[in-house]
Amino acid sequence: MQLELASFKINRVELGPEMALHGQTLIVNPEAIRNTFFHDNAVENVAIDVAHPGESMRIVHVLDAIEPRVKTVGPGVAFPGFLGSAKTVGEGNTARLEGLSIVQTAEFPEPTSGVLSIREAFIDMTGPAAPYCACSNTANLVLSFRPKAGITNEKFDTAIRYGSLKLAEQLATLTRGHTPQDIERFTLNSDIGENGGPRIAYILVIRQQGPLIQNFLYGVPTAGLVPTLIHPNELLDGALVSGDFKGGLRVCTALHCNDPVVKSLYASHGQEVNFIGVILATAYHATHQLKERSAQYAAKLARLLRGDGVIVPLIGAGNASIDTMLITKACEEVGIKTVTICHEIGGAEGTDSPLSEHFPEADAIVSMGNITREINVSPSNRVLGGETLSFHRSDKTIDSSTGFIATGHDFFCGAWQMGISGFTAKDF
Amino acid sequence: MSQSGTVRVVHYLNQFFSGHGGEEQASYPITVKPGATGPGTALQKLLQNADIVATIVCGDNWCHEHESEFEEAVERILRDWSPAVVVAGPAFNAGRYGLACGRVCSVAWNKLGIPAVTAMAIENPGADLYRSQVYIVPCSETAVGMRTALPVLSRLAMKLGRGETLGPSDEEGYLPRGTRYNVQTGTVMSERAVKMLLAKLKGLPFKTELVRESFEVIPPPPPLLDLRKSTIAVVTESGLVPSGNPDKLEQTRSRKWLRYKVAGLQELNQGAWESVHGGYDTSAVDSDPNRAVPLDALRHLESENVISRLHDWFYVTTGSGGSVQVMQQLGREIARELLDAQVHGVLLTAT
Repeated sequence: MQLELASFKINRVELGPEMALHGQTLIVNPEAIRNTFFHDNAVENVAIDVAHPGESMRIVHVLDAIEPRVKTVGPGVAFPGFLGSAKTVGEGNTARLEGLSIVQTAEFPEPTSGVLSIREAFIDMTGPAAPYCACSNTANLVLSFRPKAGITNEKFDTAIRYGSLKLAEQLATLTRGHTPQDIERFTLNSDIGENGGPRIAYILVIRQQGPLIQNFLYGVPTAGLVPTLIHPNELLDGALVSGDFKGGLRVCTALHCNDPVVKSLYASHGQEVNFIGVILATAYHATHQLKERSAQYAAKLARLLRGDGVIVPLIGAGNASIDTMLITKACEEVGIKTVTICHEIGGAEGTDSPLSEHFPEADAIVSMGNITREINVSPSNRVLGGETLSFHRSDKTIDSSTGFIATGHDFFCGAWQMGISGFTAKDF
Repeated sequence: MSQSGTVRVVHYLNQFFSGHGGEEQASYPITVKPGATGPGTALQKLLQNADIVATIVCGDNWCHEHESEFEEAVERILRDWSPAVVVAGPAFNAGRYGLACGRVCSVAWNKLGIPAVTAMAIENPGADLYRSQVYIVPCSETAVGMRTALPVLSRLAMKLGRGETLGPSDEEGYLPRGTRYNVQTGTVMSERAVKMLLAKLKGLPFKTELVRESFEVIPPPPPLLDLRKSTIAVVTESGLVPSGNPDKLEQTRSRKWLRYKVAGLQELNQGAWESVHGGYDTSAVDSDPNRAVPLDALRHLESENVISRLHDWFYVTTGSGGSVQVMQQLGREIARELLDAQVHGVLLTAT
């Protein structure tokens, strides 16, 4: 399986009368975009705005962010299962708009509660919070949706997801006839691999709690997913789509398509490392028995692949920490060496326990830094997505444009963005 | 002291290392003498542009039997000698000596703002007690490790004496102080992960970015002698509160505990209670609150005199995303109240 990924760099997006690509500027027509969303009869209105890095702009009530892509040579389509059949992707040619994100914002019509409460996350395009927010460094096409009266969360969620993915593909299609800035070829060709070093698998543990806090694999929610094997190229083509709207610990679709561990393993593949594949597992299993079963399955797949080592990241909070640690333990127990990537929760002062679970087998940890450190977020000149916001930790509703104190729980994809930005934590 | 001037160092030793005698001299009162003595002589040879101007000597018993006098004397001596840095020990695994070294360093820093560094074995009681306040270099349990400990002590003393901030504990070689700060590595987490995994696979040394902390082992108290004579209370982290959550218990990262009266109730009725816990599926508890606080079962046990009586109140917090330090404090407060109310045993329900 070889995928040729052509990257067309975008540094500006503007609203205009047409849908076109001019150099590195993308022009989009708001009316045409709006029409993408009305046929499902779930969306009342969609406001369309743009936001660029460095501008004093804040985007609130963020749901998902998507990097546009289209398969120019198949098999299959980008975001398979949503935009077309579930034909296996990861081969042929794909074109993507690098440096552009479609950012969705909305408030859901029905309240969510308890363990299925979704949580606010925002993006600051400049200021002290920007380095902690995913998409603060991309040109953003911001879509602010309003649901039709009486619609259910599920129908609304489905409608905006489908419309946004469709738009993503449509925008990427504008690259036809243009020259990409970059062409990369991704393959796990075993001829190359056998000359490389130890066999390493990536165990990607995604959050799966329920509606609005879940992921989709080839268009189907990952509820009940038994750990399974995928090719990293399937991630590049959008086989894994995020439907997770819970605070700063979520990982958006754009990040699944640009997974940093996939990038790093590919960069070393055939030289120091033999990248053997991606094991997809879910976290937040509701019983210990299900957790144990899932961890054992993930380790078993790594073993069947004759893996020497695995990298296992944490996505989520305490519950996910248990799943992640159980996977680490299960792998170590069958002789597969692990490195676990975790964010820390040592409190505002950095004095509290950094992890909620830390098994002795997890002796090699890469830290993404303490996400509970407080950042003084500056006021913003302009806000997209809503005039007020409230964070789940308090009842207070604040003016979206003010300055306030926020943590990694509040920044869009805050935990992973800290890791991507190169943060760690050290004892002083 | 200017940057280019010589750093003034004051050293602290016990009666043994200063050459006054062994255990029989443990009541040797605090004194100060100019210059270096004992291991201070070797330390002085390692120091560059730094002088041990004075050595404080005290017997390991005297300093603990005259606590306030000791601290006052240390403070006075340090004011008189104006060091830029204080070095104490090494104390190895001598417990009283390690505690004294910790105390000297603590007085220097907290009372006078003078940075201080000491060395002792990690098992030394002074290590856990003082590691968050002062810089402690871990060393061997016996003086066999003197030659390894002194160079580290001298390096840190010179840095501190020059007014420099020390780097992270794992890089500079002192015991973790328990406060972690975010720092930029300049490298994406995944790159560091691949590098770390390769080192681990090759059997090469690697440094985990997070060392597993060891938790305090709490020995269980002795079992109740006779349950039939015991008052039992329920403490729960399930987040169970009256419907509507009138006292606003947090869904996660709770910082408080609440108590609710169960005196006069035979069971918890569906609809009157709800769980606000954000970390588990609360539908089973919402449909039967006795699953979180088993009042119905406990009333049954009471009526059969399996237990003497159920306490009038149950105690609740939300255990989702709970800070360990906060929960320790909440536990202390609840335990205090239960002791005052003469409750004998607690049923802890967890989710």
